Amino acid sequence: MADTAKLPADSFKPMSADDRAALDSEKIAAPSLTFMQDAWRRLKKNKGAWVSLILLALIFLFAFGSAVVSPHDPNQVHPEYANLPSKIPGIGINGFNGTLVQAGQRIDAYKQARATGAHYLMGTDYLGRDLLSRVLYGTRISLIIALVATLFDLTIGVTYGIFSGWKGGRVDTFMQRVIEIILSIPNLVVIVLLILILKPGMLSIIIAIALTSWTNMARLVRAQTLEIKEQEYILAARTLGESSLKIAFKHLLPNLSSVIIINTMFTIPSAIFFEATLSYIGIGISSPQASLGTLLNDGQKNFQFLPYQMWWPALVLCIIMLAFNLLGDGLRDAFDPRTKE
Amino acid sequence: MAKYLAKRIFYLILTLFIVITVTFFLMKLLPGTPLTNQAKLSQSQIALIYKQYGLDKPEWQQYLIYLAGAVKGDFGTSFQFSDQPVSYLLSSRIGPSLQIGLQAMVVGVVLGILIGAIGAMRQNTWVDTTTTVVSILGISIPSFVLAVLLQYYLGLKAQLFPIAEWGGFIYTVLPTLALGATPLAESARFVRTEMVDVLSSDYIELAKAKGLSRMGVIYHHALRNSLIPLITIVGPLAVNIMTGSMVVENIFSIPGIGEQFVKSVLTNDYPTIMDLTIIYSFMLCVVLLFTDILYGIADPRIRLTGKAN
Repeated sequence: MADTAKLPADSFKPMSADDRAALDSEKIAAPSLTFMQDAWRRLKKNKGAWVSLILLALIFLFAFGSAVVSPHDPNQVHPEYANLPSKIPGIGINGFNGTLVQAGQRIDAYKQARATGAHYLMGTDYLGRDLLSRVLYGTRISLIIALVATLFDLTIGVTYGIFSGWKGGRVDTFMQRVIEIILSIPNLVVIVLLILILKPGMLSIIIAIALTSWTNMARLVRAQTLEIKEQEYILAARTLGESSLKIAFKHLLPNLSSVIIINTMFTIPSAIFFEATLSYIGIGISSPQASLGTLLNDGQKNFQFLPYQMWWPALVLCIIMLAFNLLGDGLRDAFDPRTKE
Repeated sequence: MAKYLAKRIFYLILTLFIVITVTFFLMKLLPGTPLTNQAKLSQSQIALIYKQYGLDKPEWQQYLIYLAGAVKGDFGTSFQFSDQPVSYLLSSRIGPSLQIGLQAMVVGVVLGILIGAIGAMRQNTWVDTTTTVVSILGISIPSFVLAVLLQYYLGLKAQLFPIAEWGGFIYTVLPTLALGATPLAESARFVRTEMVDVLSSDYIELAKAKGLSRMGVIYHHALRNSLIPLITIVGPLAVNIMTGSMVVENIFSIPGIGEQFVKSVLTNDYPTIMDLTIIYSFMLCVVLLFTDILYGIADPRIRLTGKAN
């Protein structure tokens, strides 16, 4: 032991400024990021997802803001202004200047209706209701239905998945059989049956969609739970005597969050799609309430002569679906960088 | 394999039994009566009609009668079209629905594979971007919007295809396109992701190093290995087509089961709704069973017997 201490004194020297600089270059200057911060940073790099996020924020703002400030009352009927095409001030392109092809000739529909002072950005429907206000109103209803249904679906699916995965064994097998049986009936059939029993309306659509679409979430959450369950920190928590409920909330849920968030982004558009389909068939939202589906149904009847009445709601519906899908893709890449090429 | 098959068929029958039971009792909960002019009928007339359709018996008896009939393929008589057995009413309607559904599936998946493969081969070029845009649009545009647009632009404006009705093959083109868009988009996306993964694996490098031609590598190694997982999304795609067909058949007035389902729902035709629910579940069960077996054959690494847990 004593040998090692016999180093000559000149083998040591104080650090020079250069050496110190070299040491500094090894230092990690950037603050360490949490998982969510890291995901957020990656999401911002994804152009499609970023644009979608902004678009969705705007759509939400306008759809819910229109409950307070709306260009017109969505239910105010103006028979004299019926079927006016869209007119955006300052734009002269046919289709946006208030003109319409009638009997082979392009005429100014606003002049004909003696509404020269008025301009409806998306035009009016067959009762003279402002289409923009109705589209905003319909978007709001569609979004509310989708969000509430997704919230329910989230609660049922996540609880079911965690329980099934955590319990394992017979309980798990049985619970998975139940899901398989539910999955072997087409969703829309079940939704239609449920709506018939509950009587058509907003609430029954929400319940019907929530009751049928949780299976996917439950399966994903279960698979992930099975994996996480085997981790050491869960074992540690159990050894320390933590209750199952507390482990579920403190350890499982945070680690499942990315799976849950990603799947939610795909559940919302599918709920919007189901609602639109139901309203389109005629068993969804009934008037005077409107949703994107009923607007599409109304617009489709006159599509040959007044195409804008279907184009506008169709456009909004497609943008919402597109944005949610792109955002979902972006979030998947952001949360799981391994999948990125 | 035989044991697995027997087990799956047992579950299929169990599933159908549960579906029949649940739909039967759900139907009993439905508000409204199947009689159109109930107010105009006398008490004895109503009793007679109820007797004719067996609705006067207690519910558990009706259930047993229904169950016994269902085993034999007899699903009662339609309320909407009197004297027409449901099974007869629907048997003529399954054909068109199956044809359009299968066409949409085949066209969609084949084109989807092509588009996905091209996207993966030309990764991160404008070709790839275009295919991605096509697939994301296909997923985002609801089939009924697409159906109306196709009907108007290709049917009415361009006069290329008949806008509605049911005749020869030419009548199936537009509905097939409308229904096939989602399978196309989904499978293109799926194949692209899979193939990008496969293309960066070692055996592809080896195949290239051996001097195999580009197409040889793509066809024999990359494509084949990318396609196996595609089998798993056939089930969900079948659901998608069934759902879509209800609206699309209505738009193109095709005498299929989807159109009948919507009609029956709007007229409270319980026996038809029940039978259709069972038919849909049966078709889906068969598709799921078929894809599971196919997956086991295509990828020997998956042992079917081990899938039970």
